[in-house]
Amino acid sequence: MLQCRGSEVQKSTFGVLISLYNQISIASDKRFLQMDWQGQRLAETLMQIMLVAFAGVAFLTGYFSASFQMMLLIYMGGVVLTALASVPNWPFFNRHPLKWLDPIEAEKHPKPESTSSSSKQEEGL
Amino acid sequence: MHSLGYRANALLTFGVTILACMCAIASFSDTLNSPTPTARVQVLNINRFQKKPDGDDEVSMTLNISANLQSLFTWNTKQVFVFLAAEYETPKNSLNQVSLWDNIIPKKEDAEFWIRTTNKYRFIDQGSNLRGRDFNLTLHWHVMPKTGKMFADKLVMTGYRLPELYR
Repeated sequence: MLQCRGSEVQKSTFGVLISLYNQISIASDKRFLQMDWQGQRLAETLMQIMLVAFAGVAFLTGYFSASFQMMLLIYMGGVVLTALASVPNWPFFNRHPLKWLDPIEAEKHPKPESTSSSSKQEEGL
Repeated sequence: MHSLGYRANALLTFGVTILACMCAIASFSDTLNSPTPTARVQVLNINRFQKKPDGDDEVSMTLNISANLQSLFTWNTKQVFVFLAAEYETPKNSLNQVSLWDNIIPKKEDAEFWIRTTNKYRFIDQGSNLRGRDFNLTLHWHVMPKTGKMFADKLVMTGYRLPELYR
C-alpha cells in the first residue's frame, strides 16, 4: 500500500522533491543524528576516561612545572577535546545498528483479535 | 547518553567535579611543603620616645628588616601577607601586639628582601608602660593559596628593650 502511494507521488515534480527530502532526512537520521546503544556506552566511557586522563596529565605537569596556570590550561584543552570527541554523533558511535524484524513478517502473521476489535470500534463510531 | 544535550551536560558536570578534585589535591599538596623561613630585625635607632599629651607612650624607631620567605611559596601560592608586630607584656595585659610594618609579597622572587624603614604604623601603648620595657619583634605571615586553606605562622625574635628615659 505505502509503496504504491509513494510511486504515485513521485510522478509529479513536487512529489520528487518530497521524496528526495525524505530520503535525505532518513539518510542523515541514520548516519549523523543517531547513536546506537553500544555507541552511547562508548561515548560515556570515552568521555570519562579522557577527562580523568587529561586531569592526571594536567595536574602532574602543573605540579612539576610549579605552574597552576599550566594545569588549568591543559585541563581546559582536554575538556574541549573530550567534548569534540564524545558529544557529537560521530559515525563510529553508530556501528552496531539494531536488527528489527522485517515488517513483512508481521504482515504474514497478523493478530486476529486486534483487527476484529478495531473494526468493531469503527462500526460503533 | 541518548542525545547531544544530555552528553554535553554529562561532560560539563563530570568535568567540573574533576576540576574541584584537582583543586582539593592541589590544596593538599601545600601541606607536603615544610617551609624554613628566616628573618632578622635590627632596631637601628630610637628616633622619638615620648609621652603624648593624653598620657600614652609613643615610640618611633628605625628598623632594618631582612627576611627570606621564599620557602613559603609553592605552585599553589597566590601571595603572602607579612607583618611585623611588637609584642610585650604589661601588668594589665599579658599580651600586647602593635603592628609596626606590613607588606604583600606577590611573587617568589620578591620573598627574599632587605628593607630599612621607620615603623609604618605608630607604635603607641595604651598607657604609660613602655619605659624600659622588654619586647619581642614577631614576624607574622599569612600564606594565601590559589585554592584551599590559608596558612598562618610566625617567627618570634626576642631580646629587644626600650630605653628607660623619654627622648
